[in-house]
Amino acid sequence: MRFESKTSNFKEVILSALIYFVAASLIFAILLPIAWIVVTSFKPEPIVKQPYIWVFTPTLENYWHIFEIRPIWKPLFDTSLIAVSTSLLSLALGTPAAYALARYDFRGRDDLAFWILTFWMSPPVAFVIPLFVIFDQLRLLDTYIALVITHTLANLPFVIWLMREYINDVPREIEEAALIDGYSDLQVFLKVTLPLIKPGLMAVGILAFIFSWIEFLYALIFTSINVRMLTVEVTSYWTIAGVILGPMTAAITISLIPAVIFAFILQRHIIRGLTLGAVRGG
Amino acid sequence: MADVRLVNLTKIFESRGERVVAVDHINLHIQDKEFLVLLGPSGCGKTTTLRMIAGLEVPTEGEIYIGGKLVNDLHPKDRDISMVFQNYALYPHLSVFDNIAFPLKIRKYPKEEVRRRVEEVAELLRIRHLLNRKPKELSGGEQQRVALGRAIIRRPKVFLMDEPLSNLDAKLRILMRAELKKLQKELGVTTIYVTHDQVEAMTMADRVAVMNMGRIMQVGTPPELFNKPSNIFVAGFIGAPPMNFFECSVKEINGVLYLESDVFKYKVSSELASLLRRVGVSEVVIGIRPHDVKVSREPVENAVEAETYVIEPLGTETILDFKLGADIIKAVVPPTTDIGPGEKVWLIFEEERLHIFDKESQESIYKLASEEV
Repeated sequence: MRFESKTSNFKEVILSALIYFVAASLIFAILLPIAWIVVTSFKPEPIVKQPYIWVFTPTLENYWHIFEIRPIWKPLFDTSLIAVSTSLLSLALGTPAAYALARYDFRGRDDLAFWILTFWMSPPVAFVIPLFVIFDQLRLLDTYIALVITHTLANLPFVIWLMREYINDVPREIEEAALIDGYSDLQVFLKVTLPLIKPGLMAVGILAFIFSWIEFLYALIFTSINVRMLTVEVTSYWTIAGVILGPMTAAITISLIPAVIFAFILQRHIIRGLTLGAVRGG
Repeated sequence: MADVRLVNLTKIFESRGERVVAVDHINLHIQDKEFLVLLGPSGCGKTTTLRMIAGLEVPTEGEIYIGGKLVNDLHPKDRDISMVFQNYALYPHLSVFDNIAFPLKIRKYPKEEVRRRVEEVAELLRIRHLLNRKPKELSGGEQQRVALGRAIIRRPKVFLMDEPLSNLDAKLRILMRAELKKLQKELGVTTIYVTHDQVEAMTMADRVAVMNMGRIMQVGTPPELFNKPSNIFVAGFIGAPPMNFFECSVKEINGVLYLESDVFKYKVSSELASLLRRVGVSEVVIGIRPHDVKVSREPVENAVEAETYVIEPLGTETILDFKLGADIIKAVVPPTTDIGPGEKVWLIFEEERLHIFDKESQESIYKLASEEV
């Protein structure tokens, strides 16, 4: 008996060591480029293109450059505005759609849900040309509206799917109790269901925000002068004279901040959301 | 206060080309202030019936009247009902006070009155000390009381209850059974109560409607259902341990009628014989409740010989299992019995204790006879 438990203990130790090793390798591989970018952003000009130097006296000259010489305030503002608008609009449109798909039984419901999901699977570049033509006709190129619409469309499939799972987790009886207690269908949705899926709204809203914040392709093609997104702005340090690495890495570092903050604050919610409702009733 | 009338109520569920008839043309009249229990095995359509009355399911066919008013097209909130769900369905984000006050707040009652009535109800249900807690901080029994509180605070026309006691432990269930019955009588509100537990049904109901496969098998007071089951389903469903059944043929020998099974031949009285002749059935199922089986150690005329198989002492009484051919027959006897396993005995079936059903229609012959007249 004791011998057996010893072997199984030994196996467990080996297994968890293996898991930690793989996890650590992955984290290292993912974090190394980011660490390199952050470190580089604090390097003084002479050593900025020498990646092997990890020890030096940090300087803020690159940040001074992006805030004073060639300010990124405008891209920072534009990106925030578009990401926040996208996030709110995605939730405003996606949550009622998700509610209908979760709660109302109609012909072809599951097919419709799957059809929506296929948009998530399709390559974004497939939509670039038709959308470009449409925005051009509507004179919406290089406007906030064009990007908010595009990002919202791109977000909706996963917003709908994730919110549907959160709504499915709310016991149907709670809504039915509210119907009997005196609410209309709309009131039940607004005053009972929404408060109960608040964690889901936050998690999905943040995912939508981050998607919009880091989106590059649509931003590059649909905007240029009036609207400047951070992701596109960063590439502007790639000039004829070469890559201006210091300010570029500083700009990237700044653009990483909101994603990191959100990820930390809502770590639990995001993990919960990504399990797609696999853990029920929690 | 109001009566509830169901006319030809039908619900058919259709999914992926499959048609399931959940409720099949039921007719039922629930009197004002009555405690009616819908009883049946799972999937018999009792919950669907309740949900149609609540307005949570749309009937495929038929009408629902509450207080004489057709409510088919009324939204649940406009039917003036309240409902207690099996899992209580409390609002998890609200305190106990707000849960109970919810139906009043929606209807914009003045704040003072809401407070007064919540406190009244909390007093009645003995949950006053819990008013500031959240539902997840309560035990099952406490949650159940809060759900009840939310249902009774508004004094609706009808209470609907969907197995409200099934999530409680056995001891609490027995306690709540009596309390709920008392509460219903005090409030005097028409109540429709769904359960699969026949003990709950028998102890609480004014009348019970037994359902099976979407149909109402029998409606009656608990003693009526127990003493005069009108078909085999009701006879077998009500009573514990369940009724013993035997298939018999009606045989006439020298002008005397016998009920003949594979293992015994039972001589019937002339009254029963004339009844059997009048109904004109040849194949019957006879039923006798374990409490009605008399056990004798001496041979008795018209008794059935059997061998003791298992003895199950329960304390207040003892269940004896006998082997009768391929069948097992149960008898309930006083705990003082000294009959041992393997012993040969004679089982006496008193004729007035027998329930006789037509094998083909499954209906009681007494019912068939009364219908004929």
